[in-house]
Amino acid sequence: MLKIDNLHVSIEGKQIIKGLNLTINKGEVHALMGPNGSGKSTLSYVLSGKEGYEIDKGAIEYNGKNLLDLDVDERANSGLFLAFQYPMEIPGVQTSFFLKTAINSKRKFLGLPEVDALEFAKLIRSQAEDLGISSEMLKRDLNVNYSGGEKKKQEILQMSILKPDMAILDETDSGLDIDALRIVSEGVNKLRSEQNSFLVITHYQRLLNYIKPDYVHIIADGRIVKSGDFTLALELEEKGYEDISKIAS
Amino acid sequence: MNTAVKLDSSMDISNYSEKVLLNNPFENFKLENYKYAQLHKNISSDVSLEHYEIDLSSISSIKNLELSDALDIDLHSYLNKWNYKNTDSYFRVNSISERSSIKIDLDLFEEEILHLDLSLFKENIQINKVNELQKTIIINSSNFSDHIPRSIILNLSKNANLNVIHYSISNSKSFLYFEINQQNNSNVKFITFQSDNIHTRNEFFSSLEENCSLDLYGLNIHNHGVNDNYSFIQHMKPSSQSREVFKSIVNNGAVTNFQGKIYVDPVAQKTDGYQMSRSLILDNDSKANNKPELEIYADDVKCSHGSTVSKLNQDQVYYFKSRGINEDQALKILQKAFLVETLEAIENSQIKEYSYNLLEMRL
Amino acid sequence: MAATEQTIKQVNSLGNSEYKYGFSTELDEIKAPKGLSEETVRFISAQKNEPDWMLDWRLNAFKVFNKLPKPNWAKLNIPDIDYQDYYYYSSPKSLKDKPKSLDEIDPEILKTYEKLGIPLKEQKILSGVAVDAVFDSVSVATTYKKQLNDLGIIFCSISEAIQEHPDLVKKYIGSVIPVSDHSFAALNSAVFTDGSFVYIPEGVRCPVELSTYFRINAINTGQFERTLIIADKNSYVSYLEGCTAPMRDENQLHAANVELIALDNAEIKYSTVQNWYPGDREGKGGIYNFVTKRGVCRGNSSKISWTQVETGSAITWKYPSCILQGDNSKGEFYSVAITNNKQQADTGTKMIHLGKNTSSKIISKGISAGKAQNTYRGLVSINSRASNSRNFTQCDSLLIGNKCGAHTVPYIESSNADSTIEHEATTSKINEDQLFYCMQRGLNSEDAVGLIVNGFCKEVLQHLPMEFAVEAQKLVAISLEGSVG
Repeated sequence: MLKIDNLHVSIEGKQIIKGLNLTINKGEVHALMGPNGSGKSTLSYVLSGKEGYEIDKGAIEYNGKNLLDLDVDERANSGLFLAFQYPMEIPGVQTSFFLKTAINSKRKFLGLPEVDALEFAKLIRSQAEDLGISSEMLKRDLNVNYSGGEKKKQEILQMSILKPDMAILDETDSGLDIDALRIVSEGVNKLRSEQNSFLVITHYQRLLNYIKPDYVHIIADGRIVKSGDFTLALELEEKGYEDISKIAS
Repeated sequence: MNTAVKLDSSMDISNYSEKVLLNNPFENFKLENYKYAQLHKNISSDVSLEHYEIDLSSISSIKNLELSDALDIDLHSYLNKWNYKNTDSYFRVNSISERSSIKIDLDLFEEEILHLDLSLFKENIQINKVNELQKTIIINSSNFSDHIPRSIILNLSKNANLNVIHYSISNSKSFLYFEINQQNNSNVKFITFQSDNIHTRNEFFSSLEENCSLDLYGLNIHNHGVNDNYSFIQHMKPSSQSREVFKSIVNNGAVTNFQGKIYVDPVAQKTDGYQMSRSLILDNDSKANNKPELEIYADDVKCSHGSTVSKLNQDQVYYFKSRGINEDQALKILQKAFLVETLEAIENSQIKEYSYNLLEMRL
Repeated sequence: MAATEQTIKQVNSLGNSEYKYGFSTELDEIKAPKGLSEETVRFISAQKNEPDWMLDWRLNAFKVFNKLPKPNWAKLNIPDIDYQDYYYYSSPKSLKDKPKSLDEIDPEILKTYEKLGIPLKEQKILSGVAVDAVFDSVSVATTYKKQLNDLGIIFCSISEAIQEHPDLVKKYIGSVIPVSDHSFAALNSAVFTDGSFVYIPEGVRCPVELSTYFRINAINTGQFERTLIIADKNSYVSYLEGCTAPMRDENQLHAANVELIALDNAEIKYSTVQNWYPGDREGKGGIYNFVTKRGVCRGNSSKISWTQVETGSAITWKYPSCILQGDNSKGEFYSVAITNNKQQADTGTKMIHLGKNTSSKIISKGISAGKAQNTYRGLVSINSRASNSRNFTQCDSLLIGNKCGAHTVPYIESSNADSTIEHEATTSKINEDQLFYCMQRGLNSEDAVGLIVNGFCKEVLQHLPMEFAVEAQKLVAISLEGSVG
């Protein structure tokens, strides 16, 4: 589904990603772990199409298409979803209104009719309940005065409504307590299927106990230095990031 | 520093406004208060304005005011009554000289909501409110093409309460002078919604006595030419509160200006004054000028103002797009979000909804 | 409330504020005949032995001055200035034949500078400050000249620059503040007597702070200095300006012109600690300070920053400005303005964004006490071509007592859709709780107010070069001694 080939990315002339290769097939869950500054967030922004990043070299193929040709919203409507590490606050825009607009954009893109009010209300309510988001919160402005945990849950709510094919979770576990972590992970696991894939970016191995990956990659200094299965994560946890060079060899 | 000019029988009224100008060199309003207004320019344009009908049929319990509801009055003596410190308005002087005047007592009407359609009146209008009971007046100034200034003077007695919604749509050269005089313990919420105009200027002069509150909110969108809003709020007695928020979105080579002064008298301790003017410019042919001013003579006060001219937050646009919402739609939603704060103060839910819809259509 | 009232009483009893620089020096002087006419201009030019091109430039400026109306849009009560009632040139006789070293200078003059605490003897100099001293209209001596010369840096009086470096002067003088800009600019151009000239060549970082001290000594002399600072590509200079004036009954006139030019990647830092005589408590006898200061960030990525502490002068009218012409250039303005008794100040800045990606920052702190009026007047203007530019402005006013006024008049103009201007202003008085807290810890009310006010100004004071920062803090306290309350 997603094929990243020899990617080089720089920001304002400074090289961040220096030759990254990654292939994710349908139905797979990949974890990406690495120290601060290794390029994890940069990768997620580049995949979603954020401005400000120079693609110096390399290609990204998504479902057979050149991802770099598509604009941000086109990528989203094609099934790519990024759950942000720091979700934006948008005062003046009601949460439920935002969700409705997003669903309808995707439906329009797919040539489907817009969702009707009743359908939408049912959809939202059940998903929100599972994630512990009150209906009162849905009436508030998007992410305004939400706690860190509430913001993350909001991201997962959006994901469960938009049902992406390729979801990237950028440090979704940061700032979450154990309960929130469990709820968020359940939300993610419920969506897993043979048809979609996940790229879980995290610092800590703990999240991976709840969202079990099929593959684990270690990223350092802008490149993937080692790949393996779940046991790699345990090894990393034990040895720490400083020993990455040892792990990599 | 400014001199009121007495109007006496030896004076020709048509020269009166000139005299006022000559006698006030420092705060010469040709330079200062009209700095960005470009009134001397004869703005002609090939923009034809669509006639827009304000349709208030969805609002219940509303009375449409007519000439028969008003009484004739003479405001000429009022020209000598120099209410405002350090500044005068050419519009005030000119409108009272050029037009006759009438007065309307809001307490005489049962209905809670009154509709004043200015196209039905040629006069300056003095509106009085004495009673404590809350009333709302919708002042509709739309589809005008009339360059003679007009005054609308609101007088609130002690403890009176009034909501004012002003719609200004599709006007070409409309000059309105609003005066809001509040006696002790009175409260006013004034919302002015301005769109699709070309070359207009609205002035809001407010004088507050003790323990009053004034909320003045302004919304400006989709205008052409030069559109100017000027406010002057003076706190003359202690413990009053004023809150002003003006927001504009400027495009199509238009110029939108906001000048607002807060004056605090030496005796007006414990004044709480807040003013925020924010403009969003959408293209490089358009221009926004803001001049928020503070003139403060009392020390135990809390006065602040803020002003920003900016573009939309690109990160917010990106967030929308990352959820599949295309750029045009995202911009529209974010622009509405930017302006909507000014409408939130509308208390009546029907009027509020009508205003939201109006905004949607204008975007 | 009680604490402040108590302080007001204490302060009122102090009588006149301590102006310790109010003394004058007995000297023989050469003076131009009183009044302002074409003869005056010629007299000045002749005294300085100026080349023809300079005389012509002055005469042209004088013509322009006569045509321009006096500006009156500031919120000031300017009593009419009788231009004929001033002497436009005054120099101590002994300087006529230029002294070649400090030993040759009239000891009276040297004593004056010693009293002021200004180091002219090189041994006593604070390391890192090169001083050019201007006594009335003539530059007395310039320290560190040789060392700076070796680096190619020119730091001398403007009179000397006109003789020794005419090409540079001709190229840049009047290029930032055109003669016709306004009447005080024209007046200064016609009768300027001296000032500093600085040129930093390409790639050089000036190793010392450059400084000039002005003193208006003779009665009824107006000080018209002119400063021109040019920082060539990739250079850096930090310049300090400070001045004092003796107590006089007649108001004295100070109309200076300062022009700064920064080329590609250059940076100029200009700091002023100004404590001209403010006039007595009735407002009589202080200095009229009308200064035009403007910097042009001509080159790309250049930077000019103005830092000032203004506590003196009876009437201040001053708007150090930056024209941000080069792309990526930066302008900064940090100011503390204190007015007391009957002082009036209308000061601020202008930031004009012409190039792309330009940014400006304005932090203005105004403190108003006694019966003073303190106005901030600033302009931020973004041209339609100046895409992606930013401005941030913060102006805060502090009112001490109930008879003064603090006013803010910002002009915000933007024609560019990609730029951002943010402006915030607050007006308040000293926080009662803070005052109580300090006093509860043993500080008397004056010290408490001084502490709080210094905290209020900290953001600005920290931008002053170290040598000035200490003086500035003391100055803030002194100015408030007569005002706190």
